[in-house]
Amino acid sequence: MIRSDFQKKITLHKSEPYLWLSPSMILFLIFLLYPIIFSIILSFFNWRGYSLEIFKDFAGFQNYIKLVKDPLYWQSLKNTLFLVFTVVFVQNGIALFLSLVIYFGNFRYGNLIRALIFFPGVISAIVIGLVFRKFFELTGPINTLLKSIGLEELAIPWLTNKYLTIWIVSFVTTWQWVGYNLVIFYAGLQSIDHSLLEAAFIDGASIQRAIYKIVLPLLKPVIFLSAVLNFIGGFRVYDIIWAMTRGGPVHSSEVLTTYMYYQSFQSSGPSNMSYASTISVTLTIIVLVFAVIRIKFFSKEQ
Amino acid sequence: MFKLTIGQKIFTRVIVAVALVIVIVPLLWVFFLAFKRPDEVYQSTLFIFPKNFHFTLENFPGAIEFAQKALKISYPRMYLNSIIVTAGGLIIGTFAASFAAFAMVHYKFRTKELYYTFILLSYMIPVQVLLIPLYLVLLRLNLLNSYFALIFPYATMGIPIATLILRNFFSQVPFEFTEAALIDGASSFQIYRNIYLPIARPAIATCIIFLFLEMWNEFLFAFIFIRVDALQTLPLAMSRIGIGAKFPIPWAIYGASIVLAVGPIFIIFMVFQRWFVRGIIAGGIKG
Repeated sequence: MIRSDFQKKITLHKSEPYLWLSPSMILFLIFLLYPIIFSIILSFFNWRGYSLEIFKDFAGFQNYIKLVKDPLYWQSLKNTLFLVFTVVFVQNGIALFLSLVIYFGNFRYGNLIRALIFFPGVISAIVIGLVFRKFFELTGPINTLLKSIGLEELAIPWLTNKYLTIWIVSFVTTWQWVGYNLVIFYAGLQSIDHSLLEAAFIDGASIQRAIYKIVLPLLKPVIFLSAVLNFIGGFRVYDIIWAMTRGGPVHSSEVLTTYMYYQSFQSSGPSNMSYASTISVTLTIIVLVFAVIRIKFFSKEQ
Repeated sequence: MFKLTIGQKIFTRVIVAVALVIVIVPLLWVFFLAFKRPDEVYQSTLFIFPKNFHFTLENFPGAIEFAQKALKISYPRMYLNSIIVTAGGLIIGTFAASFAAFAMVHYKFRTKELYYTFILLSYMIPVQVLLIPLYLVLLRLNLLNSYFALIFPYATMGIPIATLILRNFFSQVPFEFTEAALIDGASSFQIYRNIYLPIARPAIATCIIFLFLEMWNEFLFAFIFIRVDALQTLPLAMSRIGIGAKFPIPWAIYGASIVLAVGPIFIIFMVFQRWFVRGIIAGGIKG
C-alpha cells in the first residue's frame, strides 16, 4: 500500500482534515487574506488616514495613474530592484565563493569561522543599522581611517550623500546576510558525495577544476534556492534603511517598503493610505509573479 | 582532507582573513565603544583597540539611565516584552503549523494542493504590504497597543515556513506506525500527540529557532502597532536611540546600549549555535 491509498482509507470524515487546518486557516483569514483583499479594494478609493470614512470617495484607477506618473515611485522601485539584484547576485556570489574557500581550505577552525561570519544574521537589522550609521558618520571610524592614510578629501558625510546611500545600504545588507547564505551553501557542500571528488583527484584534476566540473553543477539547486530566499528577503528590506537613512536624504535611498510607510504612517508624509495601498498592491504583484515562476520551475525540477 | 598547493593555501587564508576582518571590525568597534571612557571615545575612534584603553563599566548605568529618561522604559522590561511577544507568536504559530502539517500528511482531501500553493505564495509576500489593513483589523479587534497586536501577526507570518518544514519532516514518518496505532484504536489526536510530535521533536526545535530570529528582531509591526512606551520591544526601543531624539546621546552610551541589546542574543547564539545553523538550513533548503 502506498501513502496516498492509506490516506484515503483513514479520511472517513471529510471534515476532519479541515478541523486540523482550522487554527492556521483562521489566522490566515483574519491576518493575511482579509488584509490583502482590503488593500486591493482600498487602492481604488481615496482615503486619507485622518478621515473616518474609508470607502466614501471612489477613485477608480486614479491611484494607479498617479503611481505611473510619480517619479518617487519609480525611484523607489529602481532602488528596490537594485537591492534585490545585489542580494541575489552579489551577496549570493560572495557567499558561494566564501563557502568554497572555507570548505576546500582545510581550516582547523572552520566551524568558528562560519559562526563568526553568520553572527550578524542573528542581530536585529535595526541594531546593525545603528552600528553602521555611526560607522559612516562624518566623525566616524571610516573617515578617521581615511584621514589617517592621507585621503582627507574622501572623508565625507556618507549617509547624507544622495548618490551613495543606496550603495551603502546594499553593502550593509550584504554584510549582514552573507553568512546566512554561506551556511546554506556549506550544508550543500557537505552533502556532496566525497567519493566523486576523490575519484576526480585521483584522475589528477585540480581543485579548481573539480569545483567547476563537479561541485558547482551539483550545487545548482542549492544556489537556486538560496537565490530565491535572497529574492524574498531583498523585497522585504526595511529596518536597515529606516535605521540608517529613513529613506533619505530627499528620498534617495527609498525602497518600495519605506516609500509605502512614508505615504501612510510617517508623520511628515501625506498620510495617503489608499495610495500606499496601491504601492503595496504593485509590490505584491511583482513578488507573486516571480513566486509563480518559481513554483512552476520548482515542480518541474522535482 | 584536500591537498592544497602553497598558492592555494595562501589564497584561501588571505580571503578568509579579509572576510573576517570586514565582518568583525564594525562589531568590535561598537563593543569597545561601550567599554571606553566617554572622554576617550573621540580621541581614538580610529582603531578598535585604542592606544590608552581604560576599561570601564560606567557607560552601562549611563545607557540604562538614558533608556529610562529618553525611551521611558527599563531594559528588563524591554527584554520581557520581546520575550512575551516572541514566545506567544512561537507557541501559537508552531502549534497551528504542526496541526496543518499533520493534516497534510495524515489525510487526503481535495483542497490539499491548493492549500500547499497558498502557503508557498504567502511565504513570499513581503509582510510590509499588510501594514495598513492589519492596523485597521487590530483597531477593530481592539488589540492595538497590546501584546496580541504582535503575537497574532507574528504567529500568522511564521505559519507558512513552519508548515513547510514540519510537513517535510512528518512525511518521513512511516505510515506503518500510524496503521498499527489505528488497529489499536487510537484517535487521530492520539496519533498526532504520541507518534508525530515525539518523532518530529528536532524539526520543531529547528522551526522554533528559525521563527525565533524573525520574531525577536521584528521591527515594523511593533513600530506601528505599539504606541505605548511600556510595551516597547527591543528593536522598537533601539530604533529610537539617537534618531530624532530630543536627547542627544554620547557615543559611549550609544555603544553600551547596543551591547545591552545584543548581549542576550549573543549568549543564546553561542550556546545554541549548532541549532541555529540547523534551523537556517531547514528553513532555507526545505522552504
